[in-house]
Order: sequence, then C-alpha cells, then structure tokens
Amino acid sequence: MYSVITTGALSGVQAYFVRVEVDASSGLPSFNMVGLPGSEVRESRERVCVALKNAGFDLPPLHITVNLSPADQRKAGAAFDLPIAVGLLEAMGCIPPGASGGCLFLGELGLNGEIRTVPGVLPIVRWASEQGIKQFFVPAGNAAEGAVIPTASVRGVGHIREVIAWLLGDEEQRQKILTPVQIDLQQYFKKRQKDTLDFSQVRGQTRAKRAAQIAAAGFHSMLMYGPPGVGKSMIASRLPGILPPLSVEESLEVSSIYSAAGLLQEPLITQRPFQNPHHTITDAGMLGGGSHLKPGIISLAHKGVLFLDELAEFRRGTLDSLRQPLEEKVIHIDRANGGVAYPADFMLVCAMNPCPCGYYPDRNRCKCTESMLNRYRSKISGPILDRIDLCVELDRLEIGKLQEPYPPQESSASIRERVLAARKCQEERYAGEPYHFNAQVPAADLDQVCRVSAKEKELLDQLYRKLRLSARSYYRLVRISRTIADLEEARDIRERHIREAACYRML
Amino acid sequence: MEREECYAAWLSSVPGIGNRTVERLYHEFASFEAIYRAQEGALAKWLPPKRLESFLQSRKTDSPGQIAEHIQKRGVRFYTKNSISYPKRLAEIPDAPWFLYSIGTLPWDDLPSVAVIGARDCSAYGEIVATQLGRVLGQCGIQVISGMARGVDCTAQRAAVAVGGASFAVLGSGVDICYPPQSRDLYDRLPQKGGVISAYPLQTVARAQNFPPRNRIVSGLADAIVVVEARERSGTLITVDMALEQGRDVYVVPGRITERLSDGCNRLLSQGASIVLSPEDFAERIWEQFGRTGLGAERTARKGGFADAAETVRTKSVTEEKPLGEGKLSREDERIYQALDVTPLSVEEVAGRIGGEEHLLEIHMRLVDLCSCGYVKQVSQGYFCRGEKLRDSFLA
Repeated sequence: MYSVITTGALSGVQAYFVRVEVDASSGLPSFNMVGLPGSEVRESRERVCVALKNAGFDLPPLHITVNLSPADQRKAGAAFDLPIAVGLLEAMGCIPPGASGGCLFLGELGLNGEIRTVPGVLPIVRWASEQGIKQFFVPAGNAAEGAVIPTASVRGVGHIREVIAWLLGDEEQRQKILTPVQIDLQQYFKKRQKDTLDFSQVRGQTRAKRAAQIAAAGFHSMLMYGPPGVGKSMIASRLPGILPPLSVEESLEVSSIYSAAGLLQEPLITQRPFQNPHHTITDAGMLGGGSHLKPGIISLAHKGVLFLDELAEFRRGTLDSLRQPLEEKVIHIDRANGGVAYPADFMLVCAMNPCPCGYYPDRNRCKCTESMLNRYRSKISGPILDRIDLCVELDRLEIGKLQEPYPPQESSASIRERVLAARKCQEERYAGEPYHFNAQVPAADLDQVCRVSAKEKELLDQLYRKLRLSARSYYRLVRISRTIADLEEARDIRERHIREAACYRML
Repeated sequence: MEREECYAAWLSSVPGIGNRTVERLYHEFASFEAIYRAQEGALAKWLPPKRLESFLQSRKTDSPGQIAEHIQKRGVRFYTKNSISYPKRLAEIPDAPWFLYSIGTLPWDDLPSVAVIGARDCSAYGEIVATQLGRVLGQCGIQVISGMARGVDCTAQRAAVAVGGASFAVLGSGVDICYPPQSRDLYDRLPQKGGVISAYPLQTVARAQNFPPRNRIVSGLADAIVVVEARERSGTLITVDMALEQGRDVYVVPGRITERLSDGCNRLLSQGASIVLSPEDFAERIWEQFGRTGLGAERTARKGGFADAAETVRTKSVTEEKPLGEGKLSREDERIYQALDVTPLSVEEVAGRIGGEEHLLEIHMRLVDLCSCGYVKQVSQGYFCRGEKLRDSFLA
C-alpha cells in the first residue's frame, strides 16, 4: 500500500513542503529511504521502527520504500521521524487512508515513542498555513511557537500514541485527545517583559549615550573607543532598549530565524536581539553556513544590534566579510548544491581600546610605539571603518566619581521617545524611497533630501577644508547632521547640528 | 671623483672592513691606491683571514672605477677624511668616519650647527617644542642635524626645512635608502638646502648595529646637542653620553616632573646640562658660543656675523609671532583654550577644568571649531591639546 504525508523543511529560513511517500508491499524484507536524505534522516529508519514497536505496532517483514519529495533537495534533521512513522502506519493499513489529509506533521521520535522538539517549527507553520494547511502536529515543546500563527490550528504532541489515537478517532474523540494550542498575539505582545537593562543605570558617559541615541535614531553604525571597563558593553547592551519596539511582523521574522537555528526559547521574540560574539568567531559562525546550514550571528542580530567588542582582535577576513551583508541587509551562502539567503539587517556597534595597552594618549602610562598603534588600527582599517558613521570615545571614570551620589540619569524609555520621533520624521521624508533611514541615503540623493541653506553650506565647506575630510566622511557628516536635526524634529539642518556631527568624526 | 677617492670608495664598499680597519690600513700604506694594490702577504699582517678573503674577493670582482661611477651616477657625493670639504667638527672626534656619502651637501663649517634629538614616541609637548626649535634654528641660519627618525628628529627637521633652513639627516642605512620610510617627504626635501649623510655604502640596509655609530656622527657634526624629550634609560641618553665624550655642549628642554617622557631630560639638568629657556634664547646662545670659537670668530670678523644673526633672531621671531596672536577668540573659546594643555586632555577633563557649568557637548563642539582654526590639535579620538599655532608667546 502506498501513502503520502505532508511535512515541511527549511532552506535558510524559507520553508517548503516535503511529501513523505511510503510504500509497503510484500517482497524481500527491507527498509529503503530515497530522496537525498542526510545521515540523520537515514537513521530515522531505526528510530521509527523501534518507536512504533514500543507504541504497540509490530512491523511485519515488508518491503518498505520511503521517498522524500522533492527528491533533489538535500534533507537534514530529525523532524521527518513523525511523518515517516505516520506514513508507514497508513501504508500498512493501521490508519484509514486519507485520515492525515490536510495535516502537516513535524517531530523527532525517541525510541520509547515520545516526540521531541525540532528546529524550524515557526517558519514552517507560518508558510504552510499561508499555503492552506490547517492542521499541524508538532512536538509539544514547539507548540507555542507554532500557535502564534492565528490561522493555524497547532497541536502539540508528546507521544506518537496521541497522534495515532487522534487519527483513528472520530470528531468527538479527537476533541478530547488533542486540543489546539492558542496564543493571542496582541495579548502576548502587551505582556512582554520589561527590559531589565536601562540607560538610567549608566553613570556619566553623556557623550557616548548621546551618540548611541543618534545612532539609534538614524540607524547609524557606531564605534566606541575607550579603555576596558568604562562601560562600552554596558551602553551597547542597552541600545536595543532605545530602538523602536519590534512590530509583530518584525517579531515573526526574527523569531523565524531563531526557530530555524533551534534557539527559540519562548513562543516569540519580542525584544530586539543583541548579539555580541567573541572575537575568535569563525566566518561560518559570523555569517552562517557550516556543514549543517545554520544562520550566523549576523542573522541572529537581524532587526537588532550586532556588538563587536574588541574590534581589533577580530580576524580581518571575518570583519571584511561583513561588508556585503551591511549593504544588502541579507547574507547569501552559496554552496555547490544550491544556496540559501538569511536576512541580516542589523545595526553595527563596535568597541575597541585606543591602543594595545588601552591608555593612549596618556604617554605616562602608554608605551605603545607609533608602529604598534598603526598596526593595531590597521587591523580594522579600510572597508569596515568606511561603514562606521559615528565614533565616540568614553571617558575613563575616576573611582571617586562612582562613589559620589549621582543625579538620576535619563531612562531608556524617555530616550526612546525621541528616537521614535526622529524615526517618524525619516519615515515621512523617505516615503516611496527604497531606503528608510538617514544612514542609508545614497550620496547621490543626499543633496536632494538633506538640503542645507547657504550659511550651513559654508560651515560644511569650511569643515571639509579645515578638517581635511574625504568625500565619504563629508557625506557622513551630512547624514549625521540630518539625524541630529531629526532628533529635535527640526525641519532644516542648522549650524549646531553640523557642529555636533563633527564631534563624532573618526580620526 | 679623484683617483684616490675612487680607491677609497672601493675600500668603503668591501664588506667587513670597518672604520678601525681602514684607519690601520691607511696608517700602514699611506694611500688608498696603495691599499688596493698591496700584496696579499702584506695585507695578511693587518687583516684577519676572513676579512682578507672578502678583501681579495672584492678586488677580483669590483673595480674602483665602476664603483665610483656608480656612486656618481646616483647623484651621491663621496668624501674621505682627507677631502677638503670633510666637516672639520667631525674630523675632531675620536674614531671619525673615514668615508662619508651624501645626497646634497655636508654641513658648512662656517655656520653653527645643532643636533636636535629626542624620543621617537614623543608627546604633543615634545612635538611643539621640536617644531619651534626647528623653526627658529632654521630661520636664524643654524644648521639642524638629526637622524630623520620618527618623533622629535623628523619634527624638528621638517620645521627647519619648512622655513628654508638647512638641515642634515645622518642615516643608519645607505643614503640611497630612505629609512624610516615614513620620512620620505623629508628625505626628498633635505638636499635642497642641506643633505642626507651616511657613513655606509649605497644599498646598505638599516641594521640595529648601524645606529650607535650613526648617533656619534650626529653629535660629531654639531657644535651642541639639544635633547627635547627622553625617558630615563633611553637611546637618546646614550647619544648624550657620546656627545659629552666628543666635548659637545648639551642643552636640555626641561619638562614637568609628572611626565615620564621628561625624566631623562630633567635628570640631565640635575647633572649640570644647560637649559633651553626658549628657542630664541637657545639660538642666541648658540650663535654667541659659535662667535667665540675659531671658525665662527673668523666669520664674525668677516661679516660682522654674530651681532647680525642675533638681530635676525629677534626680528624674525617677532614677525613670526604676530600673525599667530592675531586671531581673536570669543570669551568662551578663550576659556577653553586656556584650560587646554600641551598634554592631551579628554573633553571631560577640559570641562572639569572650566568648572563643569557648561554642557559637555558644547565644549566638544567648540574644541572641534578650534581645531579647524589650528589653535587646538586633536591627538586621538576625543583628546585635545594646544595646537602648533600658539596664542600669546608660549614658552617665553
């Protein structure tokens, strides 16, 4: 007998249907699997057979063939266990034909028949639901993430027996066995926990905080200079908190990536991600890839902040490889057997010491020679520095300052309000344009959209000449001036906006 | 090149033959041609086997004529200790180099010359002082000798060259190799009025062991040396010891006792070195000293020199200062300028000095403004010090 079961798989974060075809007929007893299964998919044969036996179904000696269609896509992961088991039961006639119609099955089987969590449930459910599938059977541990899709009826199953009982039962029995999990998205978003990190916890460093605010408002990338322990990471980790809250759409997008990576801990991610990889990270870890395709850190930072601490310690090749995703907001990983694309629209925040010892330019303590300094800085020169808009250095706080009582600092919430207002200005200005933020305005359009009057033009020219700016840093100055003006909701760029922007120039 | 000089150039190019060996050989054979033509047996007495081998090898492969031609083709001049234009000051020192190569000229004997030396990784203060010294020395006709190294050396030489003064760099490599490569601009400009000098044959690469003898030549070419910045136990202090052995006057720029880069300088002062009170004062004292010694005295008699020169110093420095002090600053800018120092300060530190009333951002903006007029220099991200364009008569 022959059966077809629907399941889903991922290519990158894009889901596609996989039809599990099972044929069980008399003949020489065997169990063959075709359709480009990876080694973990091939092993599912053992898991399925033992799990079914332990669930009370003894497999008679049959000639069994399993085909995973489309047959030219390489399949990986253990999520095919459940559909294969269901298909096998149907092919053997244990389940009435057609009972599994319109359902999608996902899950890894344990030898005792229990069903274990698998990655990628959210993007698969989301996509399949758009394609018209109504019923979903997913591992109980993943039910919540699937349930955020309002049009899908998602059942979390803990054991294969529950699935079988449901398929065998009539409508009434079915209701009792497994009820769909429901999550109200709006309620869920309202309830999201408050960020424990707040800018009011950062003492002093007013200029760095200001720079962070400008960066957040205009989606500018930012570099913080300063000796260790003055609060670079502290400020960076609080940046997601002043960015606009994630919209439902964005949240689904971000959660899908985490789901694909098997990292989704809660049904949905409601906070903007913050990723700070260690500087020993490999290219595959940063960009994604590896023998089992996984999204990299830059995709996990999608719609959030990628923080590179100790920027100069990163391998140069790794940093240079960030260029393309920074421009295109997506990373393409091309392989001999096809490529995948992961979204990677992140805000780049970097931190580094001013010199190898960290004390430059205090010549009493810093004995780094100029060549050491140059070597240290040349590690990050060129392409990546070109893409950093704001540069700010942090003050080395004296210990006395920390002990003094301190006036209350502005909270993230109040900073965020200003950021939101600035983003709104940009939204209005760039309506109908392919770009959304000041940081993304191409140089060709800059004169058009960021108009400056004669007086300001003169100041810009003066700065251009006196500070010996390059054309690129000149445009950067204009973009940042525009963001500063937006923060004040000013229509035109004024002199003081430009003068402030000049303070964040990279040397 | 004269016949004798061709042979000298050849001898200079023989690997392994150092200054002392040349001294011995010349003493024995009395001419470079005689050395070239000497019998192997006669040479064996003066050269250990290895050097003898290298000597004989060179004699076989290189002809003096070709070597001389090669040097001339490159626009390089070659001198021996016997040359008329060999600097008299240098000839006086013990173990003076037998051979000199130069692009441009050698320092003139009838003008005073000063070696400006100091730390390679100097502070902003060191840079300012080196610039001022170089400028004033260059303006009043004092030759500036140094090693073209990073920091104090090249800063002083650049300043001297910029005002049309004569400056000479002594290299630890062949004169056709610019070392350090960052000083390329200086290397190209020096020969216009001064020169690039080396005791090493062309194509010699800079090796660590070449630098102590190079430093001896730097101080040997000068009437006096001036130390701008030096840490305790630094290479600069070794040069000072050499200069003292050669009987040169040692002048020192004093520094703050809180600055490690001035420790060596202050130590020298406590040991009795002369102090530099201002670049102008220093220049005057150099001229005065020069006027009293033999060559300078001759010149003084001939041209009325010293008095004139001292006058030039005064007038020049006055005319130079004037346009700088002119720029009027607003009250706020002036306050910020006064709060700044020659050591770099962060924006927060500047704000602390002013009194903390003003907004940090406002101060930062003003600092950047001042940078664009040149009064302030941004040393690194967020750190500022006073610029080379000084207000009032700084240091006076």
